[in-house]
Amino acid sequence: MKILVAIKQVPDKNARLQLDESGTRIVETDLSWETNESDRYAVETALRLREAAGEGEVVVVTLGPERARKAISSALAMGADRGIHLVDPDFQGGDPLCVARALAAVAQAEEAPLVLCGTRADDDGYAETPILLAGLLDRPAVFLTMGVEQVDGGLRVVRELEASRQEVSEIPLPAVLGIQSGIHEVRFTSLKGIMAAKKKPVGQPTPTELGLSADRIGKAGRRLEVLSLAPPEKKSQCEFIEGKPEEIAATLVDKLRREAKVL
Amino acid sequence: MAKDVLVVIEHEDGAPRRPSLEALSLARRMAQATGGRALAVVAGHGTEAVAQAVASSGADVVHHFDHELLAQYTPDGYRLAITPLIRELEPEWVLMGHTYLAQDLLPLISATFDAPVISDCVDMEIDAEKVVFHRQPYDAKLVARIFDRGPAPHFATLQSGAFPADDLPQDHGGTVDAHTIDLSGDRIRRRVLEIHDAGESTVDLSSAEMIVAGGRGLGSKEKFQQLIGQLVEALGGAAVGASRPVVDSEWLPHDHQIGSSGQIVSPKLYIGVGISGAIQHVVGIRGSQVIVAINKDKDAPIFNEATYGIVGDAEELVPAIAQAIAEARQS
Repeated sequence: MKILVAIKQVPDKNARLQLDESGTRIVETDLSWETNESDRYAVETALRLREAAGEGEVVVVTLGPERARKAISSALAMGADRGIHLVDPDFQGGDPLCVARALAAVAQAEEAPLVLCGTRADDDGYAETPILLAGLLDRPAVFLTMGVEQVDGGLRVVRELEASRQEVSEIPLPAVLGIQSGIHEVRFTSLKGIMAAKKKPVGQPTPTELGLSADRIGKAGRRLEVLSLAPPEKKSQCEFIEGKPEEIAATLVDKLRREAKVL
Repeated sequence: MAKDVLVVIEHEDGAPRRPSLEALSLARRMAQATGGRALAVVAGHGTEAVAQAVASSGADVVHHFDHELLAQYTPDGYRLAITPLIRELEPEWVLMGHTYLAQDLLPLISATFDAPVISDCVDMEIDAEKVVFHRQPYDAKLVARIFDRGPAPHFATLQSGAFPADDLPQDHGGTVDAHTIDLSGDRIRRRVLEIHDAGESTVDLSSAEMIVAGGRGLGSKEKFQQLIGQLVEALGGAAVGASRPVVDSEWLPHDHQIGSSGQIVSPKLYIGVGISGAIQHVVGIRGSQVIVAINKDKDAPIFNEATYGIVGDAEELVPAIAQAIAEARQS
């Protein structure tokens, strides 16, 4: 089975974010980037499904500028077979629906029966692209997937529920799954994997080649507009305790005893 | 045209869930501001009482779909009831709480209307011209004000607890409109086999008086055990909690996880070390009486929740704090 995995490159979790002059975007230069956490789990899940079946192809797709090529390289080094980079400027700057439209076009062009995505990008955090994609493709989907195996007629899927519960269900293929962080341990990349990745093909289809008109994708196609982006107003009552470690410790203990009365 | 707001209700044990009531409360506010109505839809089986409860709690009209194939939530069952209803009612907005069910369902419906979902909203501005929702991207390090410039219907989900439901009436007298729906099993593509607890849950944090929790900021399993262990010992025994990345990395078994996919806690004292404060964790600790946060990043969102905040290196701070606590307890 061919499995398409959609991944996204996001700023490093510890990155200091600066806003640009428009006040609606972060400054991207001088940031360090990484593959989004749940997307790494999606790649791992695809590789395990391929290994369990003993056949198949894992194709990773990312939408992003030139820098995002690195996310593809990492996935290829883990063991994915091929990459697709939606790097054309017309793809960039869209909302989750624009991204889902582009991914739907790739899924159709690739005729991939299974599409995996991470559940949620750690940058904009919409947590909706996989299910929008399923809606556009009219495929069954499961969000927050914590387990998946191929069975006769489709997939058996474990979905995470609130309050530490899980739902086990079966869905037919073709399908879309949103993979939750923690589903499997993610493998380390070997040097051999990194060397092999350099020889693996990465396509760069244009919107036209995918049958997408420019006003349905990217900045031109987006419905959701960021009017402003700013640090949150501090509503916090947090009292910061400063000093040397010993001074902090003494002050904290004193406050916990006298003010909070919890010690 | 009136700007009606439709809330998709989730229910459990014969009653609407709190995130749905929070969405209903916001729907009433939005409807009031624009002269529309607050509408609701309940899908289920034997759920007349849920529909009545929602009508009493402030929905002007509750659309009720009762079918045996809706007894168990499935995206297709709910979608086949709700999508035609949205076409018929033409609401301006469709709202849900940002729950696991909403994330599994709502984008499937919104895609049919060529619309994205403004998800996980924490605030809203409304005037005659437009509705603007606030979200918290980059793990709540920033606030984005979002406007949907597309045509109605618009879709949004609301972060749990961000919009209080305290102001809902108890005797609103809304009407319940019972709909018939023609559903057959072959149109429901997800066949639910079972729902069970995720693994053996032997750790009950919900009744713990003191909790020390660690996050990925501790760096390694060894550091986690060493530093969290020092605080637990100093406190004469406290429960150990963790953020999701810690249990995902298997530094600690899954049943120590605090947050939306783990346990909700309400101790007298919660100490969080190396926890940045992602919303998924924070919703689990808001019931704590006193929150102490130790983190090297002064901008970490955990400090927005904390009673006392300490910015610095856990490896230097924790031994000093553990010692001071131990001495205080002996004196």
